[in-house]
Amino acid sequence: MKKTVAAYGDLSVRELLAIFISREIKDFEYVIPGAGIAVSRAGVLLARAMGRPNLRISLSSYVANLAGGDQKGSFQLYSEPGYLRHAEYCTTFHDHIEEGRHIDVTFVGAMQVDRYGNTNLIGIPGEGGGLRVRGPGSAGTATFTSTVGRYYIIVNHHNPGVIVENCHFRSTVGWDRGGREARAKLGLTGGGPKYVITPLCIMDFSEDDKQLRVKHLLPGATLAEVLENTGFRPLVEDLEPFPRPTGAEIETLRTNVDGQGRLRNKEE
Amino acid sequence: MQRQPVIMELKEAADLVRDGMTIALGGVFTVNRPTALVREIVRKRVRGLTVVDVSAGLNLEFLIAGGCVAKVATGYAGGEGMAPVAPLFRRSVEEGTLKVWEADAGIMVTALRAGALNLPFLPSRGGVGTSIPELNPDLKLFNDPVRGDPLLAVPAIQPDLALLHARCADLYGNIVHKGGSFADALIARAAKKVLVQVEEVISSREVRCNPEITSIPGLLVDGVVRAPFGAHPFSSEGCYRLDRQFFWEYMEAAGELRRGSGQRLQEFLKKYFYGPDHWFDYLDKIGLRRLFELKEF
Repeated sequence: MKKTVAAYGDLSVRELLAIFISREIKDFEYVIPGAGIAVSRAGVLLARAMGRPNLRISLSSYVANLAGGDQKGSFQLYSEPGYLRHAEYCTTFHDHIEEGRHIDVTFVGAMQVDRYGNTNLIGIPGEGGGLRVRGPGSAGTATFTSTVGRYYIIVNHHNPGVIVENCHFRSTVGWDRGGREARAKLGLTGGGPKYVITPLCIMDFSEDDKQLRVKHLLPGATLAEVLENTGFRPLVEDLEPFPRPTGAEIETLRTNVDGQGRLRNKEE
Repeated sequence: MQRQPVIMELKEAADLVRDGMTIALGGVFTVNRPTALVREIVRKRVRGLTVVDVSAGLNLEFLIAGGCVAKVATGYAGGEGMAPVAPLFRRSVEEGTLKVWEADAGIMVTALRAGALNLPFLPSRGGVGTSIPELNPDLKLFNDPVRGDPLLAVPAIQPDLALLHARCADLYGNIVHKGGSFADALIARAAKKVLVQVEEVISSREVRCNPEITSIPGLLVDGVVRAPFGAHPFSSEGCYRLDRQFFWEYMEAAGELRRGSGQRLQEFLKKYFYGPDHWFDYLDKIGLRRLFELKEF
């Protein structure tokens, strides 16, 4: 899978996705960047840096606004040691889940995501019982996705073992077996998943069935590649061009947010 | 008659840990982990523990490497950006030598809340429609008697022992966390006995000047242990950051195990766990320069 986006010089796929994510976030929203997902954390910090002065960001168990714009951190850890400087409020881990009703946006990682946006962080079964691959576990996803305003599912790889017809195990419910009422029937609140974000494309959900639908191809990815690498046939209706990153976004990302180039895989 | 301090030595604290106990670990992910106490458990070769951790990760590795854990109740055991899944956790679950009480972080919090409230269960919406109750039959799907909503009944967890890490405590167990205290206060209310290791002991006068920052009252704490750098190699909120070098060393050893040789892991355990007798001997092994460098972030 390509690591850089040829159309934009040396912009990496992860940088492009961070920029895409940043545009999804509106001022005044309360956002949890999602534990351990570099792309969404960078995207949230970029949203702030690009001028959303009333954003509320959950960093570790702190609520921060990040006035001053100096964001450090490797995006690797739930609790980077520098976050405490930005904290306006220290939530406890247990009170954090009581804020679910007030959280507008969060991000969910997944080992698998299926046609209706259900996700799996638990594992892949083996032959004859047991697990062939034990995953990290659902983290906070089952709880937060049952209440937050909307969330974005991010996968690191786009292949038929990841984007599947049915998840082997479910950590979260997106739209269950489909349909507008699917979440309400399970008593789940909040708006559910908005997009699935992969290194090849952005997918949304059809209005009535709530099935995955290819919306934007990343520059350099083809529809054939997406379909070949998806474990079922997703809907393809009106493909829209991928929103073009601006010079200002790239510059801000590289100087203000990801100065160490972690989204370009420059590890320390 | 004098007021009774709860300060104890590490060894005395470790004596409270018995085979088969349910132990809750404070902190979350790679922050505020009670390594000094965990090291004693590994050294003591305790067996058959059930470990309760709201959001675990690499901190489980050392207990698993030491053969101490039979079951883990947690929502997460990944390595965040360092590894997708904690390697020994993954291997042990796949081999069948480690059982998982499947949950997510919200379910873990709910279970501890029920424990703290001395209720048989508390409901959770998170988990409804997922595989979590299928994998964990202790979680019961039901329709609530008020509105009929489908919910999960999450049974109470009351750990036998809680092992926490914080910045300071006074002699009587009033705990002050720097910054986030994560789920430590909830764990302290749910657990039967609570041990807290701290970077330093402070005067009670200091506590009384700012009682609103006391995160856990002394009335819930059975023992305070002095353990400077006690969360190492994990970060201690407001004090020092994670020691990546230590984790690279660990991951190399875990990698070799995956490739078929357990020798490096055994050497690693000997070097840091079985070898150094006291916590200060362990810190000597890490070295002052490295420790002080971790304090800058």
